Amino acid sequence: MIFRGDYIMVRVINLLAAILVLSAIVMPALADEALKRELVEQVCEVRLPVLARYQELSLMHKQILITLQTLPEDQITKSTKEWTNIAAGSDGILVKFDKINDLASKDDSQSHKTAISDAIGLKDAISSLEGYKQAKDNFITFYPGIALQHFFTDQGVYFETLAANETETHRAIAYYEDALNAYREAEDITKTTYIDLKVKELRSEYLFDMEAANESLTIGETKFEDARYGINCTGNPVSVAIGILASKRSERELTTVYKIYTKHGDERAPQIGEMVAETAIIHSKLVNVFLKYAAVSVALVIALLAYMLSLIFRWTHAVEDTLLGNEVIQ
Amino acid sequence: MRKAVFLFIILFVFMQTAQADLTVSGGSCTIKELDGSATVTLTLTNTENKSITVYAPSLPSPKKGITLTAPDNYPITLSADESKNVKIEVHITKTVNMGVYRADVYFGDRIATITIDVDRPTPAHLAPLQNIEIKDPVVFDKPRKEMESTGFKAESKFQIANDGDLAMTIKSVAPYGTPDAGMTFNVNYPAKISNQSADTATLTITIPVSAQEGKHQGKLRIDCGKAGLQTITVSVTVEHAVKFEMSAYPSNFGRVDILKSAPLTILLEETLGYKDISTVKIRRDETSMGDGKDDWMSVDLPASVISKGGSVPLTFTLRFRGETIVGRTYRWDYYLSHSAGNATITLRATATPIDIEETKNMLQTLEGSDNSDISSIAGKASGMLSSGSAGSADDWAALASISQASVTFLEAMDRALGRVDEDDHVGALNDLLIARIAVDTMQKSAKTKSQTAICTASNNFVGGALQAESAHFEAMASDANDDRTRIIAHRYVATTYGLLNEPEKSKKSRETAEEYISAYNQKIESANDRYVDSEDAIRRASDDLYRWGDVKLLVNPFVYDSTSYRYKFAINETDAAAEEYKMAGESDLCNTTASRADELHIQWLFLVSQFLMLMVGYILLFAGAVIWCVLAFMAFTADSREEEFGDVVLLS
Repeated sequence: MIFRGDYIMVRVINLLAAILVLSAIVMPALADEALKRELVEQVCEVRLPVLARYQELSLMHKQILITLQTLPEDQITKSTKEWTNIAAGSDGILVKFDKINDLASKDDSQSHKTAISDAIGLKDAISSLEGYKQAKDNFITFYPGIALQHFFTDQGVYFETLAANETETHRAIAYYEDALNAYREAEDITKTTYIDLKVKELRSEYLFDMEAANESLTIGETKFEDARYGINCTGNPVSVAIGILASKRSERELTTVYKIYTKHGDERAPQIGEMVAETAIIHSKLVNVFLKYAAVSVALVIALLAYMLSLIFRWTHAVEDTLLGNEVIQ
Repeated sequence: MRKAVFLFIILFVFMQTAQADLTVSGGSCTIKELDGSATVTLTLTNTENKSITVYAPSLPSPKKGITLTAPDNYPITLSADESKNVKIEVHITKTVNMGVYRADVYFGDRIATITIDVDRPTPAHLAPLQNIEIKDPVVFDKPRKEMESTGFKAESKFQIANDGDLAMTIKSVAPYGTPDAGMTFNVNYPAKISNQSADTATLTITIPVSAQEGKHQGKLRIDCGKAGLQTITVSVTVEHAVKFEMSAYPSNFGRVDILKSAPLTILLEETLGYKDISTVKIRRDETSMGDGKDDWMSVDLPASVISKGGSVPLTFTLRFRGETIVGRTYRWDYYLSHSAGNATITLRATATPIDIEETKNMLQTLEGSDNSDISSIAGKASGMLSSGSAGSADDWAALASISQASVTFLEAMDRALGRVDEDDHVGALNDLLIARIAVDTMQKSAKTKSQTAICTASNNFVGGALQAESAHFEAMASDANDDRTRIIAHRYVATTYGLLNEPEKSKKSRETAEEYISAYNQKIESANDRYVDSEDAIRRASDDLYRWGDVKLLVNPFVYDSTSYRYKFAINETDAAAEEYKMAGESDLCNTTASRADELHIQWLFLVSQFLMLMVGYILLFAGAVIWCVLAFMAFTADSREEEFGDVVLLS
């Protein structure tokens, strides 16, 4: 009986083992099949413009697809789903890259700046993808890095061109800084060097010019106020004379400011231009007033001079008469 | 029934008994009228010695049209041995033909025979005709279009009889009225039928294809003039046949890329054109061994009725889903049922990886490359792909993987070689990188001998190119005199060693590159700062200079020191920057900076020289003024002395 009991027990254990084995084989197989379908179709549905723009991403997409299609079903695991989602999921590297590319396709520097910062953020996703052996073994991790490098180079070129065509110096500097950032991310040492030099050069020149402009502007504005005072107090010839000198100085200083602002595309240039024109008008008005004063003064001086000369003339005759009288007396 | 037989037997016995001794004489008559009568007298004799009663005779007609009547009053009682004459009137109608007829008159069991001599001919007469009913239905089993001009024909023969004693002429046999369903009758009949005979006429019925299914009738009039006119009904039954056909279709979809839709349309047709095929249904044959999934194959049957002569497209659209095992051939069996029968449709398809056709086309394009290695490998891969129908799903997966990787590899190699020719070794290395990865992918998948051969050829090809590039960059690194070249060379040497699977060398080169990057950055930082500082110094110096048009002049001796200092500073900084650029390897910047240093030097020399000239001028002017003052003072002094001397002279 003991022997028979053992036999039944063995049968039961065998049966349970068989059920376990079967369930282990069948159930995951069904699950994996569904997962494989989901992943392959999900990746196949990825048809993004960025794939045509960056060949590396197209290769990455193909590599993911062929990897998933050829992976045996028992190797399609939760981990496979994770790295597939990181690479080609709805918020994966390809989709993010597409959004970045979309931003970078716009003719708007702010979008490009956002694209660069987003692209820098993409490095984290690429790093996390490298943590999956299956992805790494199938060379999927290699492509996005190269694509990113090309993307940064493209952005560097974009900002460099934008800066070269920009008339406003401080904006051009900002664009060159963005280009520098992009080239640095692209690890292009020569371009980084050139743009770094360009930024420093431009900034130095700009600061120098702005320093001069600020000094001239301060003087120009002060003198402009003096000139205005002169035009407001035309009854006072001294104020008029001071106004003429102030307006002349103001015109000179403001013209310097205007030239600097124009050179650097500063938006204040037209305003300064108007001030220069106004200064010229004030100057001419003051000169007119002054000429009137001058005419009256000259007339008075001439009259006084004539009177003085007549007195001297009379005094000279008197002296001569006196001397002649002395001689006659002697 | 039994009772009636019993009564008949009793009556028969009784009559036998009653007229056992009666004799009846025969008689005759001749009738010459067409429709005439004659009276025949028969003698009844009672040979018995007792009276008998004779009842009215039974007078059956010897022929249609001859009627016999007994005008006497019956029963007649004959006493013993008595005889009596009775009359029998014979009447013939005009239908009775000329001839002698014998009519039996039954007085009980006694029979008397009357000979009737009809001594005149009857005219021709059309005997009554039967209606014609064609029993076998006419089946419309030929295509409607084909039969549209002729219609379907049915033929029937019938007898036209002349029961007159003269020949009968048939004037016409033609349809009477309008036959149903547009039928037409055509009768081939004899012109004349001799007396007392019949002849065959052939009726051909033409039924148009538009005739509905069912029984159709028409009337046929046989006109024999005075001999008679009869109209008979002709009936014919029409049956519509249906013929179901399926257009030819390939039962095998062939190779279908996963997730690509492959449609197959089969035209279900009713080809005769008389009757619709109804209840057309298609369903998966669940009894078969078809292993293709239901949701991979969509079936579209837009109608359940195929109209007569029409067609309905049955479309199967296959789309292998993601879980499909590449390389495997799947099968689907469908059961098509309809009112005209059933059919089974079996379809097969082999799953191929996504975009395999595109891969094939690209390989074929690469086969035409000028480079023999590329052309050869592309040829091998293309050949492998074309002949790769056999094998397991795993083999197919390997095949697909290798062929796709081959395209990537060959395209990258093509670009790399082109760039090497253009001396763009850096660009070439990027492509070699892609090529290397493609080869590794191939090597992982290679299973068969031909696949291994492709991998080996590809590996040798990329290996050779990488060795060449490695040597190029090694030489570049050793010959380099500046940081930039060293960085680039060591970086690429590291990459090539990495690709050549020499990680130690790769790591060493990468570290060396990093060291040079640090040195490079320091030099560049310093050089850039120097350059910018020098330009700043020049700007500040220029600010103190006098501008005369475009020319800057140093006219103020009080700013000489600062200008001199700034110019010398700028020249030194620019020279230093040029040197650092040179060491860093930025030759363009070095040249530009060196030129700038020369330019500044020349500028300074010009300023100094013009300043010296100006100073000499200043000195000369000053000296002239002093001399003039001295001379003037001396002249004044002399004049004063002379004046004083004159005054003295004058006073004295």
